[in-house]
Amino acid sequence: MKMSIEKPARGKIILGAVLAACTAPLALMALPHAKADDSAQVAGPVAMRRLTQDEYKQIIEDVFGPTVTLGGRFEPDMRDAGLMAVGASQVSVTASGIEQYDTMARKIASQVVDEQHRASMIPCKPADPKAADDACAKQFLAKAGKLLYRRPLSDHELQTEVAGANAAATKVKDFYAGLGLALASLLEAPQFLFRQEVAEPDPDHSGQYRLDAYSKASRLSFFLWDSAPDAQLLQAAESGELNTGRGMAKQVDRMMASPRLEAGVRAFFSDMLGFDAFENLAKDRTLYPKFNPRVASDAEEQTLKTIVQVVLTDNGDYRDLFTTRKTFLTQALASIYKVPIAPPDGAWNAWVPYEYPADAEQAGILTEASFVGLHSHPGRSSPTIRGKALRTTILCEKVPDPPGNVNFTVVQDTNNPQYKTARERVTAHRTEPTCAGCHKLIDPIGLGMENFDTIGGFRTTENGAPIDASGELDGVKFADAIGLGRAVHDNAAVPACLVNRIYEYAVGHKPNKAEGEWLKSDLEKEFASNGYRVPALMRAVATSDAFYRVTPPTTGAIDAPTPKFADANSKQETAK
Amino acid sequence: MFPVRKFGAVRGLALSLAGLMLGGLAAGSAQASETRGYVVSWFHRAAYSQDGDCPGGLNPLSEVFVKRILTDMGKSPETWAPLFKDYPANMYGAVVMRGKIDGKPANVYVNPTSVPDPQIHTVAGKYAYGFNLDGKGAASPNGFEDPETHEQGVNNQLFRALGCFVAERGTPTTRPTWPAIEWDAGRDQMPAWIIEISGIDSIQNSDNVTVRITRATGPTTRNASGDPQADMTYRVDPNPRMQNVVHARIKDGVLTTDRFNFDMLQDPVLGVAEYIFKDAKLRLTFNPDGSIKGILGGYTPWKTIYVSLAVGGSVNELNLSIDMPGSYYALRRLADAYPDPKTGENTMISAGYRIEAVPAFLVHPQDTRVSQATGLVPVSQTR
Amino acid sequence: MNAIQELSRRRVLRGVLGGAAVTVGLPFLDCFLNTNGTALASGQALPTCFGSWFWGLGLNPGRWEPKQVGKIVDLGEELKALEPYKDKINVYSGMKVYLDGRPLITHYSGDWSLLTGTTPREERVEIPSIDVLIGDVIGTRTRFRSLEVAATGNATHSYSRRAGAALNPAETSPVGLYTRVFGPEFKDPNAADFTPDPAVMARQSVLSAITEQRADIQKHLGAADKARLDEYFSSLRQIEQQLDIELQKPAPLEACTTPAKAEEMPPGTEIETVQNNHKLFAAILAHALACNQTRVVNITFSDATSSLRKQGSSMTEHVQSHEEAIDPQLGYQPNVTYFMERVMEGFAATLASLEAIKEGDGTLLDRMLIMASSDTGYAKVHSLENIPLLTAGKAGGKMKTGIHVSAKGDPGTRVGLTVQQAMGVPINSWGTDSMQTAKTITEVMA
Repeated sequence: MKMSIEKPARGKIILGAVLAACTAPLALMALPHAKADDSAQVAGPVAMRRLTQDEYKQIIEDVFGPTVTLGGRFEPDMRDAGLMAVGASQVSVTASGIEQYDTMARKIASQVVDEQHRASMIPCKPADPKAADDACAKQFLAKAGKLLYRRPLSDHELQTEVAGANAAATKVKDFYAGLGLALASLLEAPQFLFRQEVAEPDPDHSGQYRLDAYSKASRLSFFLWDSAPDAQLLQAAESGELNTGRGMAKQVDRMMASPRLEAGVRAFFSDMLGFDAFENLAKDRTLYPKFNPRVASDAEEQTLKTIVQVVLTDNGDYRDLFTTRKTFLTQALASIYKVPIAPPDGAWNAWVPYEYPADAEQAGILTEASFVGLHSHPGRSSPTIRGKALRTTILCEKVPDPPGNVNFTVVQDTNNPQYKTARERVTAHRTEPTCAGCHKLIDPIGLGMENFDTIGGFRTTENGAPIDASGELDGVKFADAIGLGRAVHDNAAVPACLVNRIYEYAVGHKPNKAEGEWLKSDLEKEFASNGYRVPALMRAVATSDAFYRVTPPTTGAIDAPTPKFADANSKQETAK
Repeated sequence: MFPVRKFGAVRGLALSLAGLMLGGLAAGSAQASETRGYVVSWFHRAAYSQDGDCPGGLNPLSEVFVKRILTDMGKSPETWAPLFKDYPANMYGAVVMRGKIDGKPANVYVNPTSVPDPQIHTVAGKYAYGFNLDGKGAASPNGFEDPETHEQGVNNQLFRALGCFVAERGTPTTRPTWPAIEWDAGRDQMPAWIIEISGIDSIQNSDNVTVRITRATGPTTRNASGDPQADMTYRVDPNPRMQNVVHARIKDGVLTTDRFNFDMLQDPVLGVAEYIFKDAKLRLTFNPDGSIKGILGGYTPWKTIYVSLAVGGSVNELNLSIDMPGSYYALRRLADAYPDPKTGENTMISAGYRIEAVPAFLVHPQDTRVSQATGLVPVSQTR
Repeated sequence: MNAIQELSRRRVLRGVLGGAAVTVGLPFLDCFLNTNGTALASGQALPTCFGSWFWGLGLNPGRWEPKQVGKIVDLGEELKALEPYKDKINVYSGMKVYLDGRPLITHYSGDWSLLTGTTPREERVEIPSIDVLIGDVIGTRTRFRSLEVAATGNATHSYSRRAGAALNPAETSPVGLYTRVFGPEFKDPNAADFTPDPAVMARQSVLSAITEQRADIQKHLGAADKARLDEYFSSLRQIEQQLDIELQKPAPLEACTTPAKAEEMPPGTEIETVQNNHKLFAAILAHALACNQTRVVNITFSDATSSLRKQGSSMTEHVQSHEEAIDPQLGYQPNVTYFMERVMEGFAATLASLEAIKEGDGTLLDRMLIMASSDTGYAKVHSLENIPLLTAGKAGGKMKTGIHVSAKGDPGTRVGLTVQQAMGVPINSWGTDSMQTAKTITEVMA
């Protein structure tokens, strides 16, 4: 029988806590801004997500330290519904992909067991280094496995791994080599590469399901820290603490207070803003000699630093990202933006905080190279690409594909004058009825950024003709990129888009109808009443019921998790 | 197209500061004057080579003159084959000790006069870049005509001495190979040279401009094409030894300085350690892309030039096809100024060097100004 | 080393746009084949291999189709780079892609329809591409199931995919490909001695631990996730297979030689870089095929939205295909056509690499079948009519070559069907809806 509890108003929360066994409101008391969302429908499916490149790298660094190098490359992550975090729940591993994972796994493992590292990485010594050692292999693989799999290994898992290590050690007459190969197998196993989520019946809401404690820990940790749960969080899962409101709140508080929160913020915004495209970004060397791969990576870092400063360090209004005059520059970037910065001597490539003067022509992340440069052609700017990028990444709006039967004969006229500016070049987008329908949604936005060339340099003319950077966004007119930034700041779709994206990112799927409604009626409103502050939003997601509630799994996963998991909750699960 | 940056009210304040700081050389009228900053992208011997400017022909490639050297050393042609294998790899060692001092073999690069003067060809053409340094004008027996300004009596004996070596020949659009390599090789390590031009009323015409050439505290950065990147920021090195300051005038877009003495250190990989030009003059043209290009002319120590060539020994000699003792004798013969009081021998030679620079922001350590290609802004805009 | 020479060379290299072209040498080794060199010493015929070759933006209609139908005598102007190979290729003109009411997803519908048999409904394909269908029949016993390369240096420029959402990622670096195929794990078939490496056996032991846990992992998965896990294990199988192969002495192959290691240019979309790296890729792949490291290769010269460009130009090929005016004298867009000619030169370079591997009286190309396709018949207007399709190689005798087939209005899947049948895939028809066809192109079947 399902309990359907109406979403309680704030005043009723405390009463609800007294009346119901539901532990969630206790958490809400500890965090005055979080709201209850006790509707059973606000839940999504479990998502088995492949680790992203960054998550993989971060876990290796967390578990084995920063000196261990990776030896291969990753197959590309897939983007769906605007996020790699959602695409991750749809991809598997291709043959070339696993080849690379295998290469990386062996490279990492061989470093962990080598003579320099083994003393600090392996907590025991074999009786005979030239032979298998059951006990030491078991000790090490259990410890490493728990951190890598984000949960303790089952008896069967541990047993087969140890057997593998022993067989390998015997074959090559080397304990450490055998152990290294077993460790490598952990690193290419699905349990490592995929973030598997396990559902269990929710003892506090009969008929409903929630993530098991380890799955909660994973979702929380990947969301806030872009990495696997640390030992403390795993312990909280193991002891059952994470299944209590107070316990969960304590961990969320700990994680949000940590400097590691920055990694989570960076990973989210990198995904949302499509920064994976930096990998293949190229500009014409002759036309734009200031651009090189170093500049590309500086441009990416500039915007991430700006974002971290505004939304995290200053705990400011998210919308200020589009108007802020403060940023960080390196020499290479400063030369593109044509502003002076003075890094300290001997640290010529250091980052220097910079503030544009009040009447500068650029402000906000949309005028930074990461936006105007990423969304342009190699040899020139593109109002259409930029306008579309703004619509899809910042406003979360879908732009339809161009029609198949575009009639280009109109631009085939060989007597066309040489179009000097982009505005002239996209004339046909405005004047042709089949084009205008969609292009009027995107071109006027992009044309507002035309003062910025394809690498982010400011210009007032193009091919000798003056640039007109006036445009319009959803009815709001502006004269230049500063005005565009303002218009974006004031656009209601912007905060709503962020809320949706952050939730999707956290849960790994497109919100269903109920989730969508909850986002609109609760989370978006809360975001606004909290001054559009991102940490508060992240906390709201991390402490919401929706984040841990899952829809009933389709097959097979309904049973209680393998009893071998030492789990304090197992007592609660027997009743259904 | 050079963009116009607006910095509003801030600029006016900074400009009047500039007037004070630069010792009142700003324009006397109420009209605002500008300071522009640049970083030197190229500095090398200027060459205007033309067909027929070496009447005896160009100096031959080393494969040719090395035969004369071997013969003079007494090595008969039968012994040459192994030396010419994979030329010049197997020849380097053979030619070093070809000098003779008191009958004993001597290193010819260290002792260039230990061989007789091979009488290299020198330039007898009409044109060379530079200035009329000795004041004799058209009456100068050794004068050239500058191909850009058409000034007569241009003194550039350095070009005359070296300009028939293939590696030293160039045109308005191609740089002479060796001088260009020399400068380029050092660029990544040596502190950048910077030029600050202040008191500009207009880049077309200004009467009272000050040019400062000095060093930055760090090297230039290359852009994707290998040239120095424009619009970078440099800190000015306050070392008093290398503050080259001179008054100048701009007329019809060309800046010309008064006579001055120029002293700049380079950190050479291959070139000259210290550039000294006495009685020098500089002219610069302002280009539409913001860069400046021109000629620095003056008297420079000729032995320093010889050393910059010969320090590479036979490797330089054979790869560049520059007969080292030949260049020594020619430089010595053609040197035209500052006689040594004891020997009476001229110690300096007239020269013309090409100088090019791209826009840069310059930060002065003592104050909060930043001069840039279009005006001054306070560097205090950083937080 | 002579600092002057180094500097001069460096300066010269910097002066030359993008560096010098590189050729890969082919040293020969002794042979261990039958007396004709046409079969392995054990008597088995050398295996037939498949290749797909993709380029974006098609060609100019009217300029590539050979003048005659049937035996090719005069290649179209735009295929002139293929003149030396005109007896070894087939050209198919007039075929198209049908949308059946689906939206035209530019630079997507055309290419994927021809390669999977089904015109996509949205910008997402989840069914296997033709190289995978063929590879599953011919390529299951080689060290690599298939090798994908992208001359543009972008791993997502791949037109090969298994079932499921993701592409088979393309190699972006020739040096990376070389190391992967001919690096430390390469077992030379012509090496005199062979000892199984205990380390390989050790690796097998630990990998089997993963497969033993399959049931545990599957237990908690829904149907969709289970399918993804199956794909994972199918991929893992390739590694297990590679280890099996590493433990067996490979059959000697006369024509198997390791390519010389060559200098690649940093990956990018400038045309010289693409041409250079493509040549290097083609050479390595030819050797990989000759050494039986794989039987399926997939080459992308340019992606469907071709980002090819010339240094100093503000426009990519794609932008120019829409914006460049048609020259009234020439009748085509000169800059766009410049790229198309480079593309066909690229295809010729691939054929040259395969022809360079002599096997008995013939060449590697003779036992290969390559299918070259694009995304459109006329890029300027995104037309799906008359999309250029070519095949090269005799498929080990199963294909006749030197033929121009004109089949106006037929779905381009006729080529895919014919190709699969020539490669031994047991099908009578292929494709869905209007792209479904059972009409093999009998003119080219031997």
